[in-house]
Amino acid sequence: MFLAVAGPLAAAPTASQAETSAKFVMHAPLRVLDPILTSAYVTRNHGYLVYDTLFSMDAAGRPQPQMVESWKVSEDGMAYTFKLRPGLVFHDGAPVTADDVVASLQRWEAGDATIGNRLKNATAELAASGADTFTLKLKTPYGLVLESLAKESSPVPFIMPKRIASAPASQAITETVGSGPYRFVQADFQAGVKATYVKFSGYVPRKEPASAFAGGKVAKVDRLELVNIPDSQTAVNALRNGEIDFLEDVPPDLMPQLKDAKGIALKSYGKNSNMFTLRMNWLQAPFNNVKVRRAALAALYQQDYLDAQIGDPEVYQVCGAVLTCVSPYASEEGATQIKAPDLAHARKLLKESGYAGEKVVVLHPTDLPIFANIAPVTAQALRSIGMNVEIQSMDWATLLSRRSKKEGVDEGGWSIFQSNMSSLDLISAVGNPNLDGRARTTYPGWTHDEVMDSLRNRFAAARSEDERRELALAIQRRNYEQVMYVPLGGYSKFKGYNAKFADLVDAPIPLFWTSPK
Amino acid sequence: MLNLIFKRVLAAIPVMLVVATVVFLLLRLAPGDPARVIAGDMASEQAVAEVRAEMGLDRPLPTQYLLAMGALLKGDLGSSIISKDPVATLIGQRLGPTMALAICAILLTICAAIPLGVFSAWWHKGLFDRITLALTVLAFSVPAFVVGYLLILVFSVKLNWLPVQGYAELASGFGTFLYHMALPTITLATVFVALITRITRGSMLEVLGEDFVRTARAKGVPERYVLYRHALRNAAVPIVTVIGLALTTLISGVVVTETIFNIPGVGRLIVDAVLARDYPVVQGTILFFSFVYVFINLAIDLLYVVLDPRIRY
Repeated sequence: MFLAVAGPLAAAPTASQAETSAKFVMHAPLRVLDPILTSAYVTRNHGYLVYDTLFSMDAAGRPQPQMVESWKVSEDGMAYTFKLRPGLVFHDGAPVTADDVVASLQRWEAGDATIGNRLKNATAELAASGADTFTLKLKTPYGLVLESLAKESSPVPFIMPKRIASAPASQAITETVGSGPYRFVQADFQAGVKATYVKFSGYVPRKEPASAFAGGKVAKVDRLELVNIPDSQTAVNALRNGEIDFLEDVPPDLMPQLKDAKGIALKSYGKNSNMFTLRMNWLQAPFNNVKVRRAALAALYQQDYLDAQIGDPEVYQVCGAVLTCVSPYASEEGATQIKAPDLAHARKLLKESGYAGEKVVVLHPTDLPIFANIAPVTAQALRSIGMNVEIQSMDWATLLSRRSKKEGVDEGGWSIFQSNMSSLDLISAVGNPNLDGRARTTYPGWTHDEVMDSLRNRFAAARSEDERRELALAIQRRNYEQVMYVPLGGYSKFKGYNAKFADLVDAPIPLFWTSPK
Repeated sequence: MLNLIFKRVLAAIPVMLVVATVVFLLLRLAPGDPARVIAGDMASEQAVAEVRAEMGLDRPLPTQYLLAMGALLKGDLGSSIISKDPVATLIGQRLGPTMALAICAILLTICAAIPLGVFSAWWHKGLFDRITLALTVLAFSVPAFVVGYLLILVFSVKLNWLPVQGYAELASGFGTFLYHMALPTITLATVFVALITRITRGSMLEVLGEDFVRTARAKGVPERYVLYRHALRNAAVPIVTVIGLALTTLISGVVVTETIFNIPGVGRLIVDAVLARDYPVVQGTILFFSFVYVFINLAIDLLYVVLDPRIRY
């Protein structure tokens, strides 16, 4: 009876919206709007709608000018002068100036522990030299200036007005004003529920065709509404029913429901868009012993992880490259985990390491389905060579907090955690946090390796591709010698969308623009 | 009656303070760090420490407690650590969908369960009674998320009659409101229809065996008057008690239904806040629920007087 009343009473279904309006769903709720304060991917994606960048990476992974019109590099490579494109304006109508750029870059450098921090350490001076010109002078050779300014993943060096960017990186900004293709509608925002973006009429796209993050950005629709749907099954049903137009992340187990759905396209963000990773605690026994780390590595097998978590061989990719298999420097040297393990050899290594049965605590996040099955595979692999493993289940927020504890496992510490990282965060030899050898204040695991640090510094300073290729190979080898982290296999993330979004630019993350015509 | 209201409101104040203290301690002693949640997976320890200091979470626990309680005594529930919005505003934004869902569900429950219970009792041990009992057992046994997904599969995905998800305010039109509310209401009401049908049936069976009912029938009073004027009114006290409890459960326990149908209500607010360790939101929401419990229980007690004139406070 209730249904009989409700059906006819609905005069018009919600799907009947204006042609230039669309609803999209991200993988997580958008709660924090400051793209420098947080490294959350959902905030990064929000940032790409609202803000613009000085340089952007194209589909081939080369930095291309975006807000910058032209630039000059001194002969010794120690000084850069940049000139901004004419006509750049913020959403509040103010012109984009070099002062805004300098303030934004300084805040980004303070908030980015990887590439931003590295650029800051190499910089002698960053200053405006005119209304639309700024200079960057280096104190040490750094060959990745443009690559750094084109950094794709969190935190991205987005440009915002100086009055906003003057806030410390640890203090959330209170206004969302950028100069990107979409304007954020502050009044519509409900944290964790919905956000609205409208096409910014003052945005002047570049003339070049869109290529990944680079090129012309022509806003696809006039009005974009971000709605949060926490349940993946509901989101898939909503896409099938025409209630939403774009779903950022279709879980592998729900993909069959969309494969034959009428009017819905399912498309990969590219092979190895994400990678499962394993990190050991170098501060505590038993993994403070490199021989135990090597024994553990010898017991792991990527195929087991990928079968347990993804299941579909069409969706996952075995890959042992520490810079991911989409890197131009990809190598799988030393990656024993890409082949079936020789457990007898692993047991022998463990015996030789002097392992005395110390407890290994594997942290297991249960509330993130996309890698909830990874930890049990690790536990089983290590048990199979005789390690004393305890798996501890918790939610992701608890894991993040627990992971920062440096104490032993009996005092609340940990031995192993796994993560699911975007390849954008792993692809850079200097930005990949797992390869940071600067020790105890960096990414949990607290890898301390001066050789690795030196290799990364040399990579950053290198000015030729050949030199970088050679150093990348050395980094790959060093990672597996020291077992700084273990790639557990890649997979392709898939997006689902309807015809409205058929011609969006192809990129490793959702970008809602097309090429200029 | 005014005396009762005054006493109950006074008694609620220490209850609220105890609730606030317990929630404060539970949250702070539980693992998890909102600064880490905000800063993200790859933030350095230094960055997390700076965020923590910025949010005042590096202060000693007693200082944080005193600050929170001081604000609470002034009626300030604080602000979200994550979004910076006042907790009262967040609850205000989310209360509408939750109340709408709870009221629709309770109305559907009353409209369905009371007639079912009355007729089951009237046809005691008959076919209708047996079928109703069997259906109530089924409704009790099937979890809300299964009911929700089945309804979505049939009415949204297959028949395309109703939306999969979303919420429309009453201001957008009654038809649109009901169009979005139909499936969540049925999902949420299913278990309560079963519960109140059985309570009504049991209560009616007891009353229908009383002498005054037999006397009414002997006097030739029509059966519908016997059922509704004599029997149901006397059976109403336990039914109203359970409906009141159901309403409190509905307001505070709709998170599964809100999640399945993507309704941005208070249930979702509190679950998201727990996952993000947004302490002020969790604390404020629980305090709000405590207030709702006190208020509804008081309302039920007052309703007893209306239903049964023998009851005096």
